Amino acid sequence: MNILDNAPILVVAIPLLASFSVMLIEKKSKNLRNIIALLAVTASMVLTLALASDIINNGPKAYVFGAEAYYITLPSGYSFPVRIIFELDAMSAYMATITSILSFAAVVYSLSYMKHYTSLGRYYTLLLILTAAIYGMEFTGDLFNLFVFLEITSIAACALVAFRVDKGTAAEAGFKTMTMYTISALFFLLAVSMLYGEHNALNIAKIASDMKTGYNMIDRIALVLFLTSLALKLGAAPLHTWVPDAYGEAPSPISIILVSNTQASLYALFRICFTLYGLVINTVIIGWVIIFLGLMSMFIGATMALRQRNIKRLIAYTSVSQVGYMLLGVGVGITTLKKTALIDYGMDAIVGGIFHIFNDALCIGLLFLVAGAISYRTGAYYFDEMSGLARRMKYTTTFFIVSAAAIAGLPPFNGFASKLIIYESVYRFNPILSIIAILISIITLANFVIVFHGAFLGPRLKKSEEIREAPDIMVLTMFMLAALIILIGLFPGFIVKNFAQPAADALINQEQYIKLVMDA
Amino acid sequence: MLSESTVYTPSGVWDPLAWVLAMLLTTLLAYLIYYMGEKRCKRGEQTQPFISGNPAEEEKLHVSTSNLYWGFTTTLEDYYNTILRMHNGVLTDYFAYFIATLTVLFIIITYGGA
Repeated sequence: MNILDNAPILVVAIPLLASFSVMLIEKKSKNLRNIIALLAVTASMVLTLALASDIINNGPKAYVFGAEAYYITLPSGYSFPVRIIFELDAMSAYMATITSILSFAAVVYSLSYMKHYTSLGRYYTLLLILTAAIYGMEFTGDLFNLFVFLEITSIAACALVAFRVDKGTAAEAGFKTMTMYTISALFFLLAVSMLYGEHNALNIAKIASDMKTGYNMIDRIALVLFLTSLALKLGAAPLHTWVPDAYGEAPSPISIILVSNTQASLYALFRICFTLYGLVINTVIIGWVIIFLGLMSMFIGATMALRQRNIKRLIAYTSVSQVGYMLLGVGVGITTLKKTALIDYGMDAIVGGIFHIFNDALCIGLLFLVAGAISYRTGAYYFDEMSGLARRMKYTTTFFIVSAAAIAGLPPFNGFASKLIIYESVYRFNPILSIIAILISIITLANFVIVFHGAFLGPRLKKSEEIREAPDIMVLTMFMLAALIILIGLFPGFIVKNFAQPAADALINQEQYIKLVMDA
Repeated sequence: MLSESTVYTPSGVWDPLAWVLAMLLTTLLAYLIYYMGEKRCKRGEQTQPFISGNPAEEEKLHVSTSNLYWGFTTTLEDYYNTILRMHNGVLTDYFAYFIATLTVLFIIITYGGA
């Protein structure tokens, strides 16, 4: 048995099995519990990277549950798929790679950051379930399973947001997140059931194939429900209001997994627009809807961040603003799907948007870890209460500068490369949109100047004389993400050529996705 | 190596290694100018910065950054009043935004023929 053939299920199953075993192992040894959690995310990461390499080199693959062989998508005598199918292309592999890096960083960081907390068995259980469900969302080729994984991520994420029960605000944030996620899931399920009633199928490839011959009002209404429910889950304005509460109150390592969770919903949105509906929709109208959501997210996120005094809430609003860039790039790409402009600049806009997903994950992830390191040593999140941290926490300060400069789009960091592609391609589509995107980057930089000046510069405070650098494990995790930011910044061509471009090609290639299941 | 660092954009090209090289050369040039400067000036011999009145304790020199962009936020006061009201933490309001967005998208997509 080739382990790579079964990698799609192993990537999900390993963290899932580990999530339940850590609770039992904790009874014997807390160190062993930590080791099991770390091994699970490491194994998933290694398998994901191997899978990504295989898919990019050899093309997409389907993994069928319960079939005689994993690649038999149509049971004998059937002309449509009935089994649960994972369908992986370069886009799924790209997203899973990001999830694997963030989940690995979250677990390693948690070993030190969370060690003073109790109930860590439950913490790692929830973290691993969340990781497994995010992978599931990125791999599934089935709408109902997409809903199931969406629900699992929601439940695990809400419990983790409210994990610090000593804080009433955390419980409130968890409750708000749960309510909003439930509303999102409810409308998502309604859309899935409408499509099931209409097409008598739940497989994405099968429904996409059916829609080509008959696209009607039911499909349109389902699209409205999908767009709205996923816009809420990915935190696009004006449905982003739960984001600062959730990101701000969750423990810092959980905040970075929440970034991955949000991006999985973004992936689901793109998958539905490009793969499920594809060219049957009016791409200009849908493209402009996504562009408008992107513009609102960028503007509201960046301007609200300017009013924040809590570092984590400021980063959370910045994260909303960055989602706007991805929506803007991909939205412009969608408007050009049926035009020659796709070749001129539309494809570049999609590549820019997809490339920015990776950069956002690393930069926002690192910023949350920096905020965690600061709170770990100072016990505070409000930067007005801090001063002169650069003298005491030199490594953390360096990591903050790297991540803030990268997310603001300063050269030569990775954020600059993806934003440059977005600016230039969007400029060809509509110069005003590009100018707004550049202005938002300036506001983003201004946001982090406040934090840098307030928390890291200035005189030493008497109350902070005991402050010292964050523990080694936390520094090591931050170093890992900072190194990736710098490496991708210096070699953006490598990521664009080997990851973002194949992901964008796979995303617009609806025919290939359908054929993999329907022509097997 | 160069192709791994180069990104082709719709209007040009971005090569960070070339940018880093340019920055290093600029830094070298700046250092040469600095090196040719006044050599008698030593670190620590300059006058301490004078803040009017008596010298204050170091801690009291801390300037809060809360109001760093006061001009910007005051100019956009109407916008901020509206947007801050939107983020009131009331779940029923958040649900109303969801319904409003759903309604707008419903009209655009179904009646717009998307």
